[in-house]
Amino acid sequence: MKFLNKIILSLLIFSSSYFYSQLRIEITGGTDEPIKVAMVPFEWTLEQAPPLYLHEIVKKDLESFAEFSVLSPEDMLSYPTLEEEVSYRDWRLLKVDYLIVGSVLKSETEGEVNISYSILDVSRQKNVHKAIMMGSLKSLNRIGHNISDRIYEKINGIPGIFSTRIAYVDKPAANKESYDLRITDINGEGDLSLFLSSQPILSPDWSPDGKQIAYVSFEEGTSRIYTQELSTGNRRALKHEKGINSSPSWSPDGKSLAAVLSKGGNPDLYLYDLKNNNWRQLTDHYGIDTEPDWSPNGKSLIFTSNRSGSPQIYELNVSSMRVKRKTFEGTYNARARYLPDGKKIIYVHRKKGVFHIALHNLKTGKISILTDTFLDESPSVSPNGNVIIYATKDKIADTDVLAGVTINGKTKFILPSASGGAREPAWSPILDKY
Amino acid sequence: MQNLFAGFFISLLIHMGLVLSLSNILNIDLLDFQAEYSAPIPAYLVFEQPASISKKEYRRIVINEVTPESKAQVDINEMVLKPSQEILILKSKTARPTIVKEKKINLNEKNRILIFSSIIEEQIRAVWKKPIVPEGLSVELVLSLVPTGEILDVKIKRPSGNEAFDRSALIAVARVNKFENLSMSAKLFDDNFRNFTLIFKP
Repeated sequence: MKFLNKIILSLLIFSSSYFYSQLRIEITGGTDEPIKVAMVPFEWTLEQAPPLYLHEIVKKDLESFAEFSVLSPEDMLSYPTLEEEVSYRDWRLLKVDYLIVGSVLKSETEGEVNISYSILDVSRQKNVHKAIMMGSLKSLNRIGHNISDRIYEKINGIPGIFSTRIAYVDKPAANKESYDLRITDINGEGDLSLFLSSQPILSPDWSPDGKQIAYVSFEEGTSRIYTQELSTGNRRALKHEKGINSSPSWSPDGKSLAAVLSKGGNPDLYLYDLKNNNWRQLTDHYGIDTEPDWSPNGKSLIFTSNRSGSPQIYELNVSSMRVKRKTFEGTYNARARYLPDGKKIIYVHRKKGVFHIALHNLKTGKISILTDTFLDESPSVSPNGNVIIYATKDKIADTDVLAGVTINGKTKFILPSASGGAREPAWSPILDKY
Repeated sequence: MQNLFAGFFISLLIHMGLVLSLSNILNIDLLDFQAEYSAPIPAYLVFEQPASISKKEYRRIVINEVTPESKAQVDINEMVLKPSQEILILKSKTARPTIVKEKKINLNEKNRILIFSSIIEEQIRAVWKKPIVPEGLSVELVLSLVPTGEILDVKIKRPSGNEAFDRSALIAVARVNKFENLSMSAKLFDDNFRNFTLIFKP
């Protein structure tokens, strides 16, 4: 009886696999055309004139990395503000992929507005996302970037970065005497100073919650690591050790900082416990170990070391304390940073005497050079892993600028920064997570 | 009591056998293959055959015109792919060698499936705008066609886990709406193209 059961069971499995064996066609790679988005100017029901137009902010945001083409209102055939009013035929004619309609309505609270909008899939005539937001009229600009982030995430499948910020150090120049730690929105708005000092400031790094920044300051004559709260400006000095104190990197859980100390005679990696205020040694080698960066899962650190004779990237497993060399190509690889997926890293790579930013796949070992400018340094990755910002020299103006490149190497841009001495950019995590 | 069960199972076995044989079981190997696409250069089809078939059977096939009006039973030896000629390097799966031995492979039928598959692939590829999603995703859709090439129904068979990526595949299918240049015999259509799986990989 059992034997018979087995036969029947296997027959059933066999027959079902037969009936499922369908023709399979595989599609890899599509068209290179950007996704076309149309955002109809939102309905405005307030008495006062709008201080700015949301569709203009969204258009500027979405087009900044050349991933989308956004239809201008002049080219639209109709101006619906509700999903029910949409005539999909109009938008199909304009070859629009996604349509955004919405309105800004008066709120009962003074100075507040209610914003509601829908993202519509034109080809399938479906609502992809519907949102209602409340905010003050003063923060309409931020609301605009927030809407851009949501549209970006819904369409591209990875978070948008239009509300993120970049911290950087402004070096002394002809018109200013001090070092200046600043933060700016990625669109160049809201540039503000966090800390001014006549002595050098180095290596800003964001806490994982985006509320604090750690950096190195020489204000006491020697290097020391500080953390600073953004909302209050409160600073906290970490316990100082003899020699170099540099390159802080916040751990993903926010409880400790990896950094470099030279109290043992030569620079090694140490871990600072923010609760108990003590240092723990991580590496011990007669070579120089520096520039640590935490993997997103908090299990390992990558760092630069010259233990093999030339600067190369190594990975330290924090639980087993095992160190593994990661780069073998070229005689200069330094300042590595993980991408958010933890499977790739970027670093400064010297090729034929020129410093480039390179992308390195840890699994396959494949290296691709992303930049073609010539003195590229200190790369930092956007929290969605799609864009890299780095410091470089503007050859023509001979100034220090912050430049960016998308991870596919296709789109490059210069960050609009007021001054000409910007160094050491550090990209914030996602800040206003909705 | 036991005798009753045995009788039931034997009858079940017989019926199962009947169903399987009626549903043309020997075509299994023809349905199960992968097509790889390379750059569109004028060229010919190359087949990688299972070990049991000698190299002499590799064929060079010159393909002449396919127009929507052309008769259903076009001889593949006289067809030219329109609008562009292309290389197809196609691999047949050698997973079921026993079945290959039992039945001589009908190359013509296989060729036709491959050509119509690449016609479908090309039309989807031209409209698929893939988003910037994490690497390593893939989504499987099941399409139902009518013989004119119109897409009746599309369903997600295996989602990728990324909503935006799945949607981009569905949008590509919606934008095609109707596949052009799919004139084939009713049998070929029913066996292969009435329902088939599309796999999207970035």
